Amino acid sequence: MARIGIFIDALQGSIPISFRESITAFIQGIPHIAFCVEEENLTSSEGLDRMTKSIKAGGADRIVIVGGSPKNYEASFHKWGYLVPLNPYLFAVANVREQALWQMVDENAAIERAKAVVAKTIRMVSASHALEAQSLPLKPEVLVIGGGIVGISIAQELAKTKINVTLLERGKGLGGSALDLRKFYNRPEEVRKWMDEKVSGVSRVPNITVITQAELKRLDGHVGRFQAKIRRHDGTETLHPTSAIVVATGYAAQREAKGIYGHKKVIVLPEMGKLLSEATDSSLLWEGKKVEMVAFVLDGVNEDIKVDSINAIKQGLLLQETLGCQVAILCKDVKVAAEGMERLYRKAREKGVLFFKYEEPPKLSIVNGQIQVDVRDTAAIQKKEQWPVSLLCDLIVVSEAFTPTPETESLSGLLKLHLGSRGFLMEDNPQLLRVRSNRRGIFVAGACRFPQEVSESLIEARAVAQEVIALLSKGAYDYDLAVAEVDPKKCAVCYTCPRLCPHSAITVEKYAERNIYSPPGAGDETKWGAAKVDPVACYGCGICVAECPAKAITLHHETDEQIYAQMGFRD
Amino acid sequence: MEKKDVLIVGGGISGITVALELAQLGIPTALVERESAIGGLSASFCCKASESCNKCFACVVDKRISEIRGRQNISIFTETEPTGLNGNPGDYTISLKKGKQREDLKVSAIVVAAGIDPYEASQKAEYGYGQFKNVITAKDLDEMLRYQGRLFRPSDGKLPKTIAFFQCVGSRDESIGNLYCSQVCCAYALRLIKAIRYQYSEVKATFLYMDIQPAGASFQEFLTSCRADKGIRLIRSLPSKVYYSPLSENLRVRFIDPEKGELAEESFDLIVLSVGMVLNKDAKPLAQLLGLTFTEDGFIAPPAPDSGVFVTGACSGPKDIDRSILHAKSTAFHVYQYLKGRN
Amino acid sequence: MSVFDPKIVAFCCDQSGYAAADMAGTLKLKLPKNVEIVRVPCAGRIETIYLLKALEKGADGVLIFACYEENCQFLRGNLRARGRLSYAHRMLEKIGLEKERLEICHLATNSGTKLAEALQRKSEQLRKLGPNPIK
Repeated sequence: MARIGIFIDALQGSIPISFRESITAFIQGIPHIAFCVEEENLTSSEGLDRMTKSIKAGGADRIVIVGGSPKNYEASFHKWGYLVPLNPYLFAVANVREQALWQMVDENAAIERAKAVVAKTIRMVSASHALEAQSLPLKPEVLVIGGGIVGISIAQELAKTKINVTLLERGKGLGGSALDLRKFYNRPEEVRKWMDEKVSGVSRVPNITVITQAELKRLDGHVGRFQAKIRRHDGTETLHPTSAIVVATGYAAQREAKGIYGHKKVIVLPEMGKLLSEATDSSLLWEGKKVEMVAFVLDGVNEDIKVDSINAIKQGLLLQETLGCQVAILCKDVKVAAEGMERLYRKAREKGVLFFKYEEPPKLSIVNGQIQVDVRDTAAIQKKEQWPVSLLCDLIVVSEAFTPTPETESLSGLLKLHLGSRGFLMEDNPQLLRVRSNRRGIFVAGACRFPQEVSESLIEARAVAQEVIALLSKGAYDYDLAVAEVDPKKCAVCYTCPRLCPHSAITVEKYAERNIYSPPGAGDETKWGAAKVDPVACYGCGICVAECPAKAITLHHETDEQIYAQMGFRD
Repeated sequence: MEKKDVLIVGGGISGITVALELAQLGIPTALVERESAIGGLSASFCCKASESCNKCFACVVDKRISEIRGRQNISIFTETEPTGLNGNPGDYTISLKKGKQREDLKVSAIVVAAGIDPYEASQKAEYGYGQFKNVITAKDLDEMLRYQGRLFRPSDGKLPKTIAFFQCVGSRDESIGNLYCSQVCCAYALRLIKAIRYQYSEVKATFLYMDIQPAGASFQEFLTSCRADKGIRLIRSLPSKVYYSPLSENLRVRFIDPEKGELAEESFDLIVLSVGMVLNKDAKPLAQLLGLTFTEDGFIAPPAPDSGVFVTGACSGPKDIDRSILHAKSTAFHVYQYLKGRN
Repeated sequence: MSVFDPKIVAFCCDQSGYAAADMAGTLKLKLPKNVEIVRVPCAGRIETIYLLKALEKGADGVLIFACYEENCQFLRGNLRARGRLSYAHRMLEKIGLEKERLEICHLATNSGTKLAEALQRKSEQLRKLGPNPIK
């Protein structure tokens, strides 16, 4: 029989005395109440001590706090558990401040409402069960998929904290797309030197194992107990257990090669970067001829990627200032949303770089061996002055389309990660923030999520390192069983729940000993498959519970009973 | 005297994120906030969804705030500010004051997350903010939608049928010396427009801009839907002055009409100024107290790596909520490394 | 029609509806009297039978508060709730109950004003519709 202890929180006077007295009087009439006291500062350590004393003295086995929103109390009682000698799930909050006192027009209505809320909270907590917490030991092992600049940085940061990292790379060597970087425009170090140091730095670290020319073939298990099967290009396969996975597989760049865009005088931004790094004296040569007029044609494919605009301005300024070229930059909008870019943009204009903002895409044609760019300049005020401008150029620089790598789709299938609307990993859901994925223990960083500048990707790398360390630092993952559980006797193996679970926490396995369909006379050693929810990977959302046609799944902290109790019907 | 590992100055989204991340690593922190409630500027933002989420991240801030309440290893001090600093890197004693009370705290590391203020729109006298009732800032509009739940003109309480949004107020402006882009205002204003037009489809908006900067998630699709919306005019022309007619209470604005290709003058029921970001006014004395310097653009420059002082969030340079959270996580990592390196 | 306070059962998803209800309280917005708030971890937890049981037990209307599309903490819960609501609507049609008694409203954590407005609007609508004939 339940013995419920009730604490009424005055919340620094925001619940008036008359109100509290009415509630106390109401509670006196309810059975199974062990005690009812008023308290203050419940989440402070002194408050918790006083509560512990009251609970022991009153012999209560579950408690209700009558006060404000549960969100004020839960951090102290639910998740960081056992601060009072009671199971954190034998606890409920009657929200009489935000949802009764403050929402009703007059005090009488508020008191009636508060009484209803208190009554149903008491019913709800009477239907609660104690839920135990468990601990899953986590080995400090991480698999990083992708050996580009982000993968390398993450591996190095994690290795510093004594985590064993396996760095998996599909290609022959490390570096990824950053190997195409030829020039840092605002840092004195040479890119090649910086990249070489980073790449060789990785091989020197003892607890980073680099595996190149290999791919992920299969992934089983859940956080803390992943089993990754890696297949090398020579056919050998190895099994790697790991606690967490980081995906940093990068992006692919596609350049438009049809028609005039395939002309040899049309190059892409990384190629221009290469040219600039190789230019020795004060002029630029392309195919042996001096380059005098360069036009950058941007925003043809990506409108929301800043990197192109930033690189174009930096490259344009260099060409104009030191290599004696006349540069024109054509774009829909000049993207200066990065540190120092507005100043660079003004400097470029001062030095003579021409900027044209267009609405209709510029047309390219070949005239006497040079490329002519026709654009309508929208900056002119009078429409009659908006003549089409024609530029005869020696070189045209265009942006490439940023697309996901061809392996992204199959990788998302192997890892059971979601894909966004453009095919990059993980849809844009603000609740998942930047580096998390739909699965616990799998993190996504860098351009495989969305292409961005190198400096931003490096910040993401450190944020991932922070998340991984937060997961592994205690050596164990503490979780409670406030998650879904399948009753194997009722499971008909219809495969609805594994397909539905957004966190891929359900698998069908042979672990159940019997289900209702076992034939008579079958021995006890017959193991039947049933759906199994991994308690560590489950987020407790309840989607599977609601969908199961056989009602075989229970969500332990939100059972049907508790929900019906909340509906407020005297059943 | 109390001792904590880390002191975080500033209880906005960046400060809260650093505190939560360090708490996950088992590092106790003290969070100090000047106002009477934590949350900072972004806690006053409204939800900018239309038929589906528009990825403005405002709800994420509210979630983080409720996550931090009642946590045992994060001590939150509101209405408190630092007044003095003594000691050496790794072993600082910081003096705090709350009203008349004074207290000292020993910390190993300090994180500055002081945040930003919206640019003071009244300094652009030609726009008439503070003089004309129906000229408001984007922050005023946000608060109106969040706390009142409806859109109305301050002068008569009626629904404005036409709204003009002026971009780049206080940013990219040589005349006031703010030579930087505040990065978030274009996306922010467009999301507000979309949210308003979803709730009140008869409202027509005119977006007057210089260059549209991408920010937040799924921006390409979002911008395409804005361009396709017949009730939104995107015009690349910044107005120089707002004209007020006391007889009709009209606000008139001159800009280049792209259709006709000539100067046009139109009246609007409501004018919203998208103000840029400047460093929070209390962050300057704080930075000086802690021996920090400023960047060319007036934000706090990154401190020396071994100083034990870290700067995070928008006070180090304009950022939206998404990037502030990411930056705060990265800063928490640096703090963790620093503390480990000292032991 | 006599004036009555329609009983509304409001299923509030913890991430959006419940937080919005708290915010409505903080802003001292007034809600209709006869509202029962049911807190669920995600709108995806709401089974079709809960919606129908609520009506069976005497509620005049049911309102589900769920997150916006692409804003669900658990990614798809809000869409599943929508699907189950359509299913419940088809059942109501078959038994001759008005579809307006079951509705879904999308909002976010900080949409206190929207929640108050939605409940007031529903209360008015149900007042005009009349009490649940099953009662």
